[in-house]
Amino acid sequence: MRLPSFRLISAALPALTLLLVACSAEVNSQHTPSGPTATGSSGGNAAASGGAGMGGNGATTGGTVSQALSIGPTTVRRLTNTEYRNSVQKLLALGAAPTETLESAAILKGFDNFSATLTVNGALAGEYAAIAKTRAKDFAVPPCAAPATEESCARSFIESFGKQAFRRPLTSADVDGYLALFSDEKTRTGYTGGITQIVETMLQSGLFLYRSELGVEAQGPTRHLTSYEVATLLAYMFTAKPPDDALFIAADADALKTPIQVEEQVRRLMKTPDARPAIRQFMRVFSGTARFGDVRKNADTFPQFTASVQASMGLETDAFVDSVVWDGDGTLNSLYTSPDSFINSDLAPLYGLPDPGQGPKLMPTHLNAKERAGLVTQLSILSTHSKAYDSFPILRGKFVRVTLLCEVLPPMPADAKITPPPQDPSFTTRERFAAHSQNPTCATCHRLIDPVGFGLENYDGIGRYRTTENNKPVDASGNITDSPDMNGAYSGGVELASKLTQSQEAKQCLALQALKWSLGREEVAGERELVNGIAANLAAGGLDIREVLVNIAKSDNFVARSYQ
Amino acid sequence: MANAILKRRTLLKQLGASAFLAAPVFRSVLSEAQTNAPLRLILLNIPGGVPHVGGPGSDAGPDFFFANELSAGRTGQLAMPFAALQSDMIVIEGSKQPASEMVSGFFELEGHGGGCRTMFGGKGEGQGCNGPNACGADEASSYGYGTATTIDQIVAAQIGAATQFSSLHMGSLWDKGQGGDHAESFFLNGQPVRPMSDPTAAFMRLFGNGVPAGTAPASGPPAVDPAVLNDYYRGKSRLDKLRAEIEAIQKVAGSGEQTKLDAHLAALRDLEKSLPNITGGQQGMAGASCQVPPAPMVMQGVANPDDPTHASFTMELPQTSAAFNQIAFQAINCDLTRVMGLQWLSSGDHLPRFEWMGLKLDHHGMEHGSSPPEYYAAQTWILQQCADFVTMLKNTPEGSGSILDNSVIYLTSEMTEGNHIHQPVFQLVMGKAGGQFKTGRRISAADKNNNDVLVSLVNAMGVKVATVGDEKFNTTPLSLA
Repeated sequence: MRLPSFRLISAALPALTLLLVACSAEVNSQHTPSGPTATGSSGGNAAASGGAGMGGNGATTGGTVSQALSIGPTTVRRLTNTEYRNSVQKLLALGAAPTETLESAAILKGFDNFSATLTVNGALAGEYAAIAKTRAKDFAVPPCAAPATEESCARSFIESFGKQAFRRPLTSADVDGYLALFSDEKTRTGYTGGITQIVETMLQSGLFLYRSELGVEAQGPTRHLTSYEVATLLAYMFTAKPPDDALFIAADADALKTPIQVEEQVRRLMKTPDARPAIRQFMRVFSGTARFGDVRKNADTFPQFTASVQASMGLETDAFVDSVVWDGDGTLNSLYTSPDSFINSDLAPLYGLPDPGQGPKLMPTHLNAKERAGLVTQLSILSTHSKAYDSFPILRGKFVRVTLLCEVLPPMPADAKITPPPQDPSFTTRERFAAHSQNPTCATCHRLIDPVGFGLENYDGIGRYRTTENNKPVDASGNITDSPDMNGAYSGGVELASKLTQSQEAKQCLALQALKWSLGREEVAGERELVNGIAANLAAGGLDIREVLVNIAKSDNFVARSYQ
Repeated sequence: MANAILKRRTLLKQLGASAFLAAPVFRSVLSEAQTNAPLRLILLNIPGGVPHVGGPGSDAGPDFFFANELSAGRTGQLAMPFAALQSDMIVIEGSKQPASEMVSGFFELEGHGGGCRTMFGGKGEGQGCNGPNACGADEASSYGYGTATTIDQIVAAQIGAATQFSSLHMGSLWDKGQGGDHAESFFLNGQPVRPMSDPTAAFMRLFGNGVPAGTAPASGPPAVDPAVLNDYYRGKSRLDKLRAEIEAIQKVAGSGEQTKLDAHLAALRDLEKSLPNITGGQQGMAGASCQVPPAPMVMQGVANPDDPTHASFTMELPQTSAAFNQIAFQAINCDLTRVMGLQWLSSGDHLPRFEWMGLKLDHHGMEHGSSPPEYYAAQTWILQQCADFVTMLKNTPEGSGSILDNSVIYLTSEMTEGNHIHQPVFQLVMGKAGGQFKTGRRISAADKNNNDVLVSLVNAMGVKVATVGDEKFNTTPLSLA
């Protein structure tokens, strides 16, 4: 069976499929928990058949295809910089989150929150230490009054502050360790100095910086996260902040063990204001714009792309995402098709609309529905997936296939010589790139990519709609081939958006990206089938993004871990 | 250098101190007359290739670099930055980067990322899995990290304890925008050693407390202010606790988390070396001209530095590079570290970086040859930055020569030119490694791989290894003597 969601558009498909088989077969199936409870029989069956589907006939294991690894490994996930800032703010009850410089994290494959890339190097350790020192110095140490002893006050402080810092109650060993630290410092600088030392230390402790997803050792190799770990996972996923009081209460009662209990918390968290910025960040990852702030344009070609305009573009997409996900029907279909957006004085000229007259304030507006349809036609998205000096259809085609459809393109041949067509004002961008696509060496891959990008040629390098380029008419006819459910011609971004809404592959991709983002890692074998089940169940309604997140959080894969 | 380390360790032993004792408030000042200068290893990472033209013979005389460029009908502009450094360098021509080719076959890394992953380490296990999930659940491998360890970390593991920072890495705009994360080039056991990209943060980290002042007392612990003593013990207790916690996490975390936590422990060890010195022990040998470099211009902050809807970086390339050059030079001159990696931009960077030079294209576009004049101009500018940095070392007396004479500087790129080709790859060694290298010549090494050069560099640093990276890419070390 060929699984459309895991397609390799490559002549090397058979060989690569064999490699996948080998990979999957190494995993011991006895660690596999039951099928996804959240997705019903559809997801469960998909997972069960996934090994065979991905593994072909299982040839590398003598005809026995193991049930591939279907839960991720135990891990400790370092807080992202945003999560760290928010955590320090909450822990110390600061009016605003710290804004000191922190080493930027790697963004690999579009994600800025993958655990494997969130490490602590010397520079970052120094930055954590500096922030901890400053904030501890400013910390108002609670007084200790008789009849309590300084030791009992310190113990009480360690237990309460430590629970908030480490997002779980401290063990007796934890408390003893910090009491020893307190006592040591107290001999030099007294009670206040001792408490300050605790604060400074906890703010850079591994127990604060890393989110534990280790479960309980006694459970053996296949573990369920503790209620405190689930509370932490949910809190950072849906609010980018540490657990709130309600989550702590639930965790204290060990009441985050069942899908129903998790769902209850998820639905509650999604109603909080903090869910908006948290899910915005997911949508940035989903749309390949996690570093939109770094985008630069050539000042001669696009003098309109000022810092102010750039910021407005990002804020527009944030507002658009909010309006669909939280204030609208929440569906991927609306995300792809809605012509409603937000403009201000910066953006109105780029859309060819009158200035709403509110300066930088974004105002709701109806964009021209013949020109604009949802996420893909947003200015920030089009500006990101283009080059500094032109629309660069290759990048846009790759964006659609890799980022929005989760397809894996074949590697570039090692001996390929790549020379993009030079700038030439006597041709349109499409004309320049068309010749490039016809080169036999390049055509193998670029026939898959370039025609998709050509369909967005109505938008220039900063997303402005255009019908002519270099005094020639723009040809925005696009075409998709080798797709499970999007093959065929189209013209322009609006028609592309329409095709995306008809595509199950697109829905599966959204669900897959949500799973990866929520767990901070690549998917493991079998998880594509899990998310495909979720997407299948929700497809009829246009794929409610909120429900995708709920279903992921309710799945076994969300709370189970394999210790290796 | 070996003597210097021995002295340090002997002193620590006599003091009964731990292996990671406090860093210096006092630091010995190396007089020009002293001959026991430390060796330094400095790696210079040029994105997108160094186009060059080889010529016949193995030693074409003092103007070898220029002669070949000019005789080939090219402008020779890429060689110009090194005009005054010809007697200090060895041009290695013709050798290959086979590991880069292999890892570049990996999905999404392509020539740029694959070359960066292996250019300084020659391919570790798990790098170059040929398929999207062929690396299995091992994420480090799926990103092309594998178990890569680059020569800076091989050397730092042996000599890093002698200085406040076991190694330092800085990169001008290297991680900003598309392409940056494929340009990670320094690794320790599969963990990227990401260069600092913010000059202001680097300045504060290295020189926020000034520079080592004065010379340590001739013997015995100095009289230390009680407040300093408190700071020391307070910091020591805290770091002991932090380290113990990471070690405790390691005991319960899975195998996949160990190297990440090892890296955290290493970071804490470096942090511990920044504690006040209460022993009077000497660490490092600052040059007489050691001083705080000029503070970088302050970058304009934004309300939320992590909010990607805001422009995140307002310093452009010239300012960033100039600031890092000064910081890097003084970090060496003040002996804060003896192992360094410097990087400019990232291979495959899609953003325009040279508009201030009147160059319109993004660097990736230049790399791929759509405008050779722009590409040459950009690469020449980057090479000039390298030359400026090396010239500062050359102009700083040390012992009977200069800091450059006591350095091992290796300049290379992840590919030949921008078009995903890895042979021949340009390699330039500068400095005499304390008299071990014969400079002022060109070596034709078509039968060698870059691994063979890497072995020679590591050995010159006093760290004896037989191979670097994948054994099958090692032939015999390239003699630089």
